[in-house]
Amino acid sequence: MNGITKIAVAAFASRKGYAQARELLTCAAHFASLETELWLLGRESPNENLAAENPFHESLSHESLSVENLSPENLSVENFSPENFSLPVDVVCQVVFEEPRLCSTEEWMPALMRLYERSRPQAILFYADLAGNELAVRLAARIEGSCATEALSLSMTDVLTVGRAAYGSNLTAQFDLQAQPWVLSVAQGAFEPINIKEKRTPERIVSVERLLDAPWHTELRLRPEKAEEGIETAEVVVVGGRGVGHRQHIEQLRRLAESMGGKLGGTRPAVLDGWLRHKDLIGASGNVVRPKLCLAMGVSGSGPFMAGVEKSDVLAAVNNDPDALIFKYCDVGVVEDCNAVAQELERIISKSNNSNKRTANS
Amino acid sequence: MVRLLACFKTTWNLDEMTTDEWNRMEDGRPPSFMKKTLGMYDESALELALRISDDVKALGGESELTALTVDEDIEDHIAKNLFAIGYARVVHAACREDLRFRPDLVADMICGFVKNAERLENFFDLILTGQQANLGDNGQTHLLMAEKLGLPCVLNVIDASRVEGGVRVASLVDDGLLEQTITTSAVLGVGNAAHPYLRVPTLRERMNVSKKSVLLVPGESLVPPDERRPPKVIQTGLSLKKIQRECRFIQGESAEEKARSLYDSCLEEVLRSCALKS
Ligand SMILES: Cc1cc2nc3c(=O)[nH]c(=O)nc-3n(C[C@H](O)[C@H](O)[C@H](O)COP(=O)(O)OP(=O)(O)OC[C@H]3O[C@@H](n4cnc5c(N)ncnc54)[C@H](O)[C@@H]3O)c2cc1C
Repeated sequence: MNGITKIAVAAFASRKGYAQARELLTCAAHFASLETELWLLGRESPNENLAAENPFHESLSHESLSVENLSPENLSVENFSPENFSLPVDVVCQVVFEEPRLCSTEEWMPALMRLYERSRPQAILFYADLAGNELAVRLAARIEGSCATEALSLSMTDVLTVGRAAYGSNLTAQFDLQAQPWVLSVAQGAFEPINIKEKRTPERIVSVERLLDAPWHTELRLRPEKAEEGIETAEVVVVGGRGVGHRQHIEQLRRLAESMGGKLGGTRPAVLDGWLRHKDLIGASGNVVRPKLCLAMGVSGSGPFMAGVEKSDVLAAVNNDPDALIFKYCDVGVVEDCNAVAQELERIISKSNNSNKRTANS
Repeated sequence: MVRLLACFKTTWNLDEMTTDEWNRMEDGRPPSFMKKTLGMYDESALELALRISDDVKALGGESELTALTVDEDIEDHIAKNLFAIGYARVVHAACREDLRFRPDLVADMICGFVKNAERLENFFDLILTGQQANLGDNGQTHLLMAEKLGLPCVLNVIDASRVEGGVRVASLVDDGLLEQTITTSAVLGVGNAAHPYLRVPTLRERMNVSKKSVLLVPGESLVPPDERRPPKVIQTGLSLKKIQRECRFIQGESAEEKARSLYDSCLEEVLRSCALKS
C-alpha cells in the first residue's frame, strides 16, 4: 500500500477520548503516513470529575507515555515531555479553551478548521461516536474533502476504499473516496488496539483559544447520562426487546443480569417505550458490546440490533417464535416465553451463587 | 408566521425481510411485494414538526407546515395522510437518480428548494429531517444541508417545543441529554424521539383533504445540471454479511426445563470462566 505524507487523528481530551485515540492510531497505521499528528480537543466534560481528570488543571506525576498507558494524566499539559513520549505521533496539537463552558459539538468547528489549516493533512480520523461523526461530516464539507462515517475496514491504492454497514446494517457497502483530504469516522472496535512500541519525539503545539459566543442558542443544559456503567466492556450482557412486553419484566431481566455479574441493555422499542434509558440502547445507533455471553430476550434480531451484539463470543436468544430471525444469527436458541425463562434462570443462578458463597465461607 | 419544513423519505422496512429474501435480492432492491413506508426517523421528524406547530398555535401564533421528499416517486396514500394530519403542502422533488448513497445530492436538492422559497420571501424557521434512513444508512443529509445553508444543526433530537424566544430542543450527546433554546433558523436531525410515530387522522380529516395534491418540482429546477457536483464518494460494492453462527436449539417440555438446560449446557460454563477471571 502506498503511504500518504500526513495524517491527523482527532480526539477529545477526556478519559474516553484517550482510549479512542488509541484505537484511531491503530487505524492510522494503515495509511502508512510519513507523519502523524494527534489533535487533542480540550473539553470540559460535566460527566467527569474535573479536578481529577481535566488534564489542563492538574499537575500530575511524570510517566513514560506509550499507547498502553495513554491516559489524561500522561497527556497533561504540565507533564508533556517529548523525550518520554512513545506514541507513534510526530506532532501533538492541543486546543484549550481559555474559559471552557458547556458547548455544542458544532462550536468546535472553528478550532478544528484552524488545526486543519495549520498542517493540511491528507487524512483525518475521528472516532465514530455522536460527536466524532458530526465533526467528520462537517469538516469534510468545509474543506471539500470526501467523507465516510462509521468505517469498518479500509484499503488504499490510488483511492481510499472504505467499508461500512448499509441497508440497516444488514449489508456491507464499499466506497471509493475520490478526493483528498479523506475524513473518516472509524467505527467502535473496528480496529483492535495494538501496542505500538515505536518511539517518536513529537513536536508539541498548544493553542489557547477563546470560545466564541454562539448567537443561535441560549440556556444550554446537560443532564449527564451514562450508559449502564461498563456495558461496553461487560462480560455478560442481557438484552431486553419488545417481546419482554412490560416494564416490570425488564426489572426481572435487570436482576437476572446482576445475578450473572452482567449488565442490561435494550433494543430500540424497549428504549422508546421508556423501559430503559436512551443510553442503554444496544445496536448500530447505540452501544456496541462484545461480551463473553449475550443473552437476547424477546428480540427479533434486526440488522441494526445485530450490529451491536455480533461481536459477542456466545450469543443466546429466547424468543417464542421459532421462525424469529435471531435464531439465524445466534449460537444457542430457546423457543419459549422469555419472561418465564428469565424467572427460572434467575432462580437457578441465585441458588448457584448462594451455594458458591457458602462454599467460599466454609 | 412560523414556517416548518420536514424532509422525509419513504423506504422499505428491512426488518421484515427474511434471510432467503436477502440472499435473493438483486440490484439492491427489496422484493417487489414489499411496500415502502416512511423512514423510521423521518416519521418522527414529521411528527415533531406537527408538535411544534401545535405549540405555536397554542401560544396564539400561526404556523405553516411543508413536507418535502426527494425521490423518484411518492405513494399517494402517504401524501394524503400528511395533508390530513396538518401539512399544508407536500412537495415531491422528482429525481430519478440512484440516491441511496448520495446524501450530498439529496442535501443539494433540499437546499435548492429552501433557497427557491427564500427568493419568494418564504423563510423556513426550522428544517427537520430524520437523522438516518436505510437503505444508505448515511446519516449525513441534515448536516450537509446545515453546512450548505450556513445554519446551526442539532443532531439526535429527541424532543422540541416552542418556548418564549425560540424552540427548546432536547438532543442526545455522548455525555447525556443536551437541552438548548434555539433562537434562529436551524436544522434538526431527529433521532429516537419521545413521540416516534405519526398521529392518525380522523376519517373527517381525510375527507377534507381528498382533493389536495402533491406539488411536483423537477429536480433540475432545484439543482441545475450544470451546477451538479460529481460525487466525491462512490459506492463500489455491496455484500451480505456472513453469518458466522449456527443455532443449537435447547429442547424441553416446559420453560423451567429449557431454562435449566440452557444453564447447564451453555451459561454455567461461560459464567464460571467469567468468575474465574474476576
Ligand atoms: C437507521 C436505523 C437504526 C436503528 N438502530 C437500532 C439500534 O441501534 N438498536 C435497535 O435495537 N434497533 C435499531 N433500529 C430498529 C430495528 O430495525 C428494529 O426495529 C428493532 O431492533 C426491533 O426491536 P425488537 O427486536 O425489540 O422488536 P421486534 O422486532 O418487535 O421483536 C420482538 C420479538 O419478540 C418476540 N416475542 C414477543 N413476545 C415474546 C415473549 N413473550 N417471549 C419471547 N419472545 C417474544 C417476537 O417473536 C419478536 O421476534 C434501527 C432502525 C433503523 C432504520
